[in-house]
Amino acid sequence: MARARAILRGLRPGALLFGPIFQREVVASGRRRGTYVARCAYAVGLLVIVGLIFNGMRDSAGSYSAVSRLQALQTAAPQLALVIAWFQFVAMTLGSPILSAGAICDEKRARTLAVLMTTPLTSAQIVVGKLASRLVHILILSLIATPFLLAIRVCGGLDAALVLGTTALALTTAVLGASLGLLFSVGHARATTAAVMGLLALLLVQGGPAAAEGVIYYAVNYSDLGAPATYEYHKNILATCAPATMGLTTLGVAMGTGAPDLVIQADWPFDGVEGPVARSFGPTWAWCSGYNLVMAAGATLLTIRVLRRRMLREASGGGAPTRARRRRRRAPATTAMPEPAIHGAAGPAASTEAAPAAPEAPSGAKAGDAHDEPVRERERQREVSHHPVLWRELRQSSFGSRRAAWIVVLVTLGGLILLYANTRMSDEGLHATIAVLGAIVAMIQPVFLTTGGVAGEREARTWEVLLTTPLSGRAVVLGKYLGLLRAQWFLPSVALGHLSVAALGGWISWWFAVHAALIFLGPALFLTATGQLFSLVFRKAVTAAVANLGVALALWLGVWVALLMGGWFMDWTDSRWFARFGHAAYALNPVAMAVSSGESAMHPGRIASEFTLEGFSRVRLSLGEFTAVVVGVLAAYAALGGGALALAILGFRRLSGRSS
Amino acid sequence: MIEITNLTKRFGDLVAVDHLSLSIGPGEVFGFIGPNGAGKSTTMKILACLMKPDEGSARVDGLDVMRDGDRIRRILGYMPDFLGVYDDLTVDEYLQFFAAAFEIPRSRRRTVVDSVLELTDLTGKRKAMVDSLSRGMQQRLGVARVLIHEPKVLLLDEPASGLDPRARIEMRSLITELGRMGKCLMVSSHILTELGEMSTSIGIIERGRLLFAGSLAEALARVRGGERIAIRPEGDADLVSAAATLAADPRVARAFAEDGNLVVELTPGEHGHHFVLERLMVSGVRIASFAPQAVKLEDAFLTLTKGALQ
Repeated sequence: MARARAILRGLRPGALLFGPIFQREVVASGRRRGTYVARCAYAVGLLVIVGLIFNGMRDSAGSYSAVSRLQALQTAAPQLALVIAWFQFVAMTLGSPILSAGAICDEKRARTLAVLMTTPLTSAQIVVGKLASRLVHILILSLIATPFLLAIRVCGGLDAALVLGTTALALTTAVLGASLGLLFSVGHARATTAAVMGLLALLLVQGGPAAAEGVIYYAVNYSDLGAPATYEYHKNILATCAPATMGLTTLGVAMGTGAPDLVIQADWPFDGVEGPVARSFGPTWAWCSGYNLVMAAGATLLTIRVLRRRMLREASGGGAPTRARRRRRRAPATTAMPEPAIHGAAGPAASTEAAPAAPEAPSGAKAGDAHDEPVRERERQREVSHHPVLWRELRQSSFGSRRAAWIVVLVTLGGLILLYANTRMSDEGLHATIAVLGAIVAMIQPVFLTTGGVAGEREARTWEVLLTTPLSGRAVVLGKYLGLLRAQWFLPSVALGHLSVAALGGWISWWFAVHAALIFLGPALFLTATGQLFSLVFRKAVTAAVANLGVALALWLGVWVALLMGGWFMDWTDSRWFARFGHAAYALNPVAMAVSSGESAMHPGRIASEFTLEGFSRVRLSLGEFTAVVVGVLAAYAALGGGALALAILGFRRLSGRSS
Repeated sequence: MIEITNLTKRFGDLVAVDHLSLSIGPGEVFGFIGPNGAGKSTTMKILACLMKPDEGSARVDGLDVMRDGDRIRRILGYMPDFLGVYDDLTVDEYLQFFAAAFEIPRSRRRTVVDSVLELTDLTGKRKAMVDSLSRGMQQRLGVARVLIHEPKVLLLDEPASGLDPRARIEMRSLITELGRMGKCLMVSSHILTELGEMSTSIGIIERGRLLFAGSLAEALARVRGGERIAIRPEGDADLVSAAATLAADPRVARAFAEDGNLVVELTPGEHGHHFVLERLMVSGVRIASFAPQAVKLEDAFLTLTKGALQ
């Protein structure tokens, strides 16, 4: 009875949401400069977008009368409101897993999770308190954008229901993202890994059902096997995908039909009407928001369970589930575990539950050193080279753990099998899709995976020790850079492997594979270098990852915005340089370049003078010219990366903490 | 070997190290004592070229920490209070990694690694993964790591922290042995008895200010005046009159009865204990036990920091 009362007391909304964890998190984040920098950056981003569009509208209607200008303003106001709504949606969706990824990781690193365990706080109070504190930030960001949306209503922007709808979509997606970031924060040691996993999980939860429906649709309607069949894509499934719902809402506003409703076709009579009828179940955004909240609640419950299990495990004397413990758990109680390369010091039997009386390790292990974990050994000893940092980095696992490696390999294989099963090698779309996917991976991987180099050492407390050696800044920075570059090999190699096979088989030109390799390499060279630089500058890997994401967005989005601003404010649009900058901005984008290369280099013998370079105007290039552009862009990326590395090396002493 | 003059380090309004000056010679084991936040680790970090001082200078073997970092790192070994380890390496690889970082030629590396493993009694753990070692073994590995390049100066920040009694004793004898080898050691610890047993000199720091620096004998001499003797009489002795008899002696500062014992506090200086026994015998007190209470480093610490801890 008392226990039930205690549980109920812990489940009170006040205790759950606004308990000591929430209060501590809000107070601590209020003291951080980064909190205000992020909010200011968000507000400035909004202002820039509003200013750009407003200025563009003013210019386009500038030569007409005041009435015409007002009419132009009224026509464009809904678009402006939608741009703001999209900005809000994208920023909050991408930001939420990053915001919550450090929540438990930081506690583990600071070793305060064990301290929390000694208090009467439940795992539910910890998780919900942390989530609620993150939601406060998200709510504040939302409050920054919403006044803009409502203010634009004066000029005839979106109606209140649509403002509510788009804000609800952004908020609930952010809640889901934050819940998923928190879930992975429990299981991962590094916040950056938790953030990346959170983002991937968000992608899966949002895109999974719609994609699965798409696969069924494609398999049934376009399969070569069996009799032709028709399968209608159930559009309502898009209510599980917030970006799609936002897209449908945007479309509805553009077409003047408003936000779409969730409609169900039914064969049974409604309201006395016979035959198939369509029945509306309210706006799609409401359903999508509901889906997001349900999934967020599920993720939060799972997080509570995972954290509780972890806390119980730690309370029973164990820590994080090490490989040794996992192996021991899996092993039958009476059977000695065969050990492949690493096993307990006292031999294989020491790894099993049946061998508690196994003799203590031969030497070096003292009575006082006894701990419940068997000491793992590696039989094969390696010789360290003259460049120890590089040596170690090159031997680091690319995937972090064997389990992660298996997941990545299986998912990649599954994706390829799905693609190969539904297409033929002669299908141009297959090769283009793989090249574009490779380019996307080449853009995303270095943004997030390269910022743990130094920040990871700081978090593991090995950085100070490394700094007391005579290793130069150049040896440390370059060693880590090359190691991080190597760690990104797998997915681009799969794409290049496919393109090479296709080229060998004569389905595509070899030039396509060569261009793709050069296109993939550029962003990796540059963003790995900036990741390394930010890793030195910022103490936390997740902050470094956000800064690196900012560089990537500035490169692939900011350049376009800057060009547009230049065009509008400086009246550059007719300038020859404007077009050239446009082409340069296009050439810097790996996805765009992969598309351009794929369009023309797909077929051997059909490549000369077929390449196009989009920008603000289209230009056709010969194979030689296009290859020169690809090489030039790679050189530019390498030069920029070299600059970032040079900054890291020159500033190493100051940034690392060495006094001389 | 270590010369610190007027060293000052501030973090905002907080003065972590306040005009600290001290000197430590070769073969000296310098025990650095002070409560948490007193400035011990900051001083060590400055000496290890991991932090810039705001004022003053620090020299290691004549080299300035602000200018000669590269040369200092080759002769100095620093073990931080919390030892982070590379979890993907074995003990042997970990030590090889640092041997390579200190540019020890490959031909000599094996011998060097073997000798430090031997010295720290980790030879049997050569193939063990570093992250699977116990805390005690990781601390020993930390010591092995700082010895890999045969440094002249060792800075050990709380080396015995988190160790069990056996590992503490081993660590203590290892440090004493290193001192005998002629190395200059600066060791910080909260456990004063341990420092007392292995240090040849001590420094007491509080709120960034060095309250005392000198040999252990000097520190103990400062408090020796308060030496106490606890005497337990046999049977029903008249402790009050015995105390009065003893208090009449000019070498006795105070004598009083406490929990059935007679407690005698001597005046400062070197005094034999025979006169106490003689006077008690004359007074007819039969003695069951006679226990001079040795002056400990704790007493020195409390005396020397008296008035500074508020």
